[in-house]
Amino acid sequence: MFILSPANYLPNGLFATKDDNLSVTTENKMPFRSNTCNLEAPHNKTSPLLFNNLLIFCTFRFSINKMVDPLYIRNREISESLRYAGMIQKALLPSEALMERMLGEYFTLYMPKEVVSGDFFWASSKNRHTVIVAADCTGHGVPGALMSMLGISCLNDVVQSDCTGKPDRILNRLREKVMECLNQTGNFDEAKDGMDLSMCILDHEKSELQYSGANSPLYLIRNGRLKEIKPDKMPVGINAVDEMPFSNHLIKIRKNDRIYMFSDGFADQFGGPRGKKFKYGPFKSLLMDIHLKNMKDQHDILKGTIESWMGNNEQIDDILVMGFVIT
Amino acid sequence: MRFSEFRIKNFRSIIDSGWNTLSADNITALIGQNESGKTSVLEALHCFFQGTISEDVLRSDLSMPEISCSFTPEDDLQFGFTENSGLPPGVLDLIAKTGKFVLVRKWSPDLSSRVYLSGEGVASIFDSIKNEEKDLSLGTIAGAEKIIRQFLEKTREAQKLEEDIISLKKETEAINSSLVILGKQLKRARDSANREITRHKIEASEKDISQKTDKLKDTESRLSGVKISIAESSFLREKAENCIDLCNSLNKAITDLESESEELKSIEESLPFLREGREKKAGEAKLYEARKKYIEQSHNYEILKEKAGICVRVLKKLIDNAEPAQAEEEAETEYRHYEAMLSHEEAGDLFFKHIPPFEFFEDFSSLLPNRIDLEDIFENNSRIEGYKAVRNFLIVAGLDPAFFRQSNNRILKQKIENLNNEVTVDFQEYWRQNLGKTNKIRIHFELEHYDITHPEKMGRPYLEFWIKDQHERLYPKQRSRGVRWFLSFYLELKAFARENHNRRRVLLIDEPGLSLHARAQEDVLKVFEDIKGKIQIIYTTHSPHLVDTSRLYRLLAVQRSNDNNEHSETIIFDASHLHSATSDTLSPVCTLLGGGPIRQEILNRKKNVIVEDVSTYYYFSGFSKILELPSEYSFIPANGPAGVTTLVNLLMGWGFNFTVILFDNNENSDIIAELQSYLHSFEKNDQRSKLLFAGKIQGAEDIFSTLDFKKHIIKKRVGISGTNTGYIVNQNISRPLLAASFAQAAASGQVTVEDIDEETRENLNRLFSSLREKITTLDETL
Repeated sequence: MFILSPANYLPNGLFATKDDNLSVTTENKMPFRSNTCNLEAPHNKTSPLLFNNLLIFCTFRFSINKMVDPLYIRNREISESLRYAGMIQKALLPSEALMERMLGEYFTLYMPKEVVSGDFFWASSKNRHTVIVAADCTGHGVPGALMSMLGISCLNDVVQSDCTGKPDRILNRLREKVMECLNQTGNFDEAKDGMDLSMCILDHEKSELQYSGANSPLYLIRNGRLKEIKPDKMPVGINAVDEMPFSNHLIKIRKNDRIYMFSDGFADQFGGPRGKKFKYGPFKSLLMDIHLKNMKDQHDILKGTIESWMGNNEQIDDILVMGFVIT
Repeated sequence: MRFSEFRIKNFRSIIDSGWNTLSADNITALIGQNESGKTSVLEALHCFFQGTISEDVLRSDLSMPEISCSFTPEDDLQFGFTENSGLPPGVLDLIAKTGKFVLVRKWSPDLSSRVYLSGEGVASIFDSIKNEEKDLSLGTIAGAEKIIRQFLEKTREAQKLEEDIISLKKETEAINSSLVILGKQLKRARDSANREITRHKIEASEKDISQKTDKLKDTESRLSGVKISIAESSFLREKAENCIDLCNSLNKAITDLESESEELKSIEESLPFLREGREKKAGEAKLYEARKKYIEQSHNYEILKEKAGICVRVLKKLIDNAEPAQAEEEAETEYRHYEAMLSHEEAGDLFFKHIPPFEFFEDFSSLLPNRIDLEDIFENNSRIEGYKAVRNFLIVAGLDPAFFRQSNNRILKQKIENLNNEVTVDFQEYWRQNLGKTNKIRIHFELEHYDITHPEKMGRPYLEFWIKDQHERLYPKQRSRGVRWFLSFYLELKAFARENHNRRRVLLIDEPGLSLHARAQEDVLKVFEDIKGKIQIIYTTHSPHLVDTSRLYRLLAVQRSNDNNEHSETIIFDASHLHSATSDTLSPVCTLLGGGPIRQEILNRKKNVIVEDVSTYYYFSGFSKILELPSEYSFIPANGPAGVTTLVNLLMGWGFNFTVILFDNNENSDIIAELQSYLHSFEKNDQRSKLLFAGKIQGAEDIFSTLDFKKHIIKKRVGISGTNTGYIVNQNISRPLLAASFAQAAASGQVTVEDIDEETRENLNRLFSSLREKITTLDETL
């Protein structure tokens, strides 16, 4: 029997999943799933006729060839690996229980663009200090995920060995570590990978928060006013100019202060009626509108807002927003 | 036990030496000019052990000497002797905590002395026990007096009440009699007016009687109460009276004993001056009686002391409402416990028995003479020249007076010959082992008798000594002083070992090998090194050859407080304060170390900072420029960490103050341990320490933040996640080159304080403020 190569005939977004279901994606890559028996019509521009033909073709092809098609097998293997990698990556993130113990009332909106993510959050507690990090590694998907693995590992090392309790010193050392690991020496032809991140260290005894940022700001909402703490304009990794020390911002915190840390994924997401970026202005307004709600509601509203903003558009980057309230 | 520190007060020219630490490696040298007081220090230490002094050592103000010595136990087992000894609780814990105990010998105006156990907090434990006992006695006696006073008041009250009762009864009787008369008058009265008056009188009398009767009853009742109270307190009063009587008797017994002791002493002192015969016999009889009386008084005192001690405790308990039987029982137990507890002095005696013995080795009595009378030896005539050496010889040879009573001359000669061989073989072994001499020396002694040439001693035995070698037989005095000195020194060591079974000891040596050749003096040092394991040596010297320049921590500099006044007070500087000593005092050291003019140019008196190597020196020079430190600091590089000790020695010897900065690395930890083992002034946590430990950094490069290190030192963009020093080692980069380049950049103003980041600035400020603080503290402790 003549078998058609799926590379030639399968439209974009159609692939087999591990449990032998069919998955058809729309143009904007928003997946929807169904059993082979219950495929639903996609809400994209594909005509009903084409969809029916496609369905017949797929059913035929999967029922006969799915176990012997090498490309299908390869595809399935890669997908399985990615799913597993995603699980590992999630396992490396701090658990909800740990986050709750360290921060109390908090939320994390963590929406990887793909199965694995270049964004990550990290938290640790040492002596009377709680260290919280929201990081956005160069790239997304697998390269981003690899970079995030490096970032998490380096953070573990640096924070563990740090005895200064100052985020700027930690970021300085983290940058050294990343540069060392990636053999970055400022040469033209080497990888420029790195991370943008915001790090804050909470000292509940002294009611102080120290913040240092690498291209990633921190928002503090107090008494209905949002204050943006600007980051240093350099990444954790090699930069075009010589490394400079990161700055340290010391903030006296008060009860009910709301702190937000995030990657650029939310503000840079395209969508809306004119397919534009969400941008930081509306993001700040949104936070101002919702900051008095409880953390779970804030999470749900942010998620709903960005999904609705995205509509049929593709998610362009990993999204991470963290918020917590000072108790 | 190791003798570790001493303090001398009011001894010859020393008013208060302060605490002086002896070298931890058991060899301590006292250096100083003539008349500085070096020998006084040795004598004082010897007196501490001997307990006897002559009036010569007293100062003109007649303040009595007090010598304190501190001892360090070498292991916990050394305190086994304190078990069940009655040492007050807490004393041993304090000693264990401080790691040492102090014995203080104090002399009284009659030149007798006592040793006390002292040390941090120890004296206060004994004082508190003494005060508690004193408070108990005084408090109880005051209570006893109160009891007696109250008893007497009650007795007087009872007497008065009895008198009141008698008087009331008499008054009642008188009223009754008048009532009878009034009754008769009433019957006889004719007119109503008289009857009325009489009736009124009768009524008044009856009322009076009634009142008197009530008062009588009340008084009788009070009397009964007072009598019961008297009966109840009579037991307590009896005990109180008994207690006061006993205490008075005890005080009298103490006075009697003291006067008896004075009496006994005066009789003993007068006895040698009495003429032989009747006068002497009468004196001896008087002494016998006085002694007998003294013993009786002592016995009486002991009995009274015990009775009073128990009685006081019983009374105290009775006052506190204890049952009499229980009070008696508990009081006795408490007293026995108190009595079993050692006093300050008894504890001193107990510990004193376990300290290493102190021996004084001096040339005059310790050098082997040509001959000595046997009589002088056996009569312990220590004033005879060479007495000690001969006594040592006899101990080494195992000879006692019985040996010389051997009647058979041939046997005696043979035995002497055998002994000569034994002693010689032993000495030759020592001579060869310690001094590497190949020339075999034989020691020879003979028993001879004076002949007609000495008519006053004719027939008396004497010992004659010879020192033979391969070529000739000579008297000791015909041999060099070096050989004699070594021989005598050998005899001293051997005799002590025989007598004390190799127990640790302290050997005090005044000017060892004074007239020896320089090489022979160095041999003396070799011998000291050889024996220091068991013998702590403290010696005085002027000779540079008896000072080991690589071990200047062994020095104590002795000098007068006023250079130009030999009557001024003697002061002592330990090795860490040699910079405070005068150059004359340090002359033996300076002679050896040399470099006089150079040192004046490179170093300053106080603010010298020794750093471990040239690279560190460059970095510190650069930092000084960056921080614009005053130029008074003089950084001196050692040639590597191992060279720090040499520099320390050199600066100590030159008499300069200094501070050592060391980093936290393995190599340095060995150096720190070495320095600390020699000198307490290198203890990490000691405020007076000359050591500045530069925190948890491994080298001068780690003072820079990684960013500054990359920017100003290696001038490379590279990730460095470890330490800067680690990076240099891993990359095999030349440290001195980088350091010198940085120093140059700092000197030329290419790197300023604005060019370094906050982390580097913090590190520098921390380090240099510690350095300033350290130097200031050291200056203040001078």
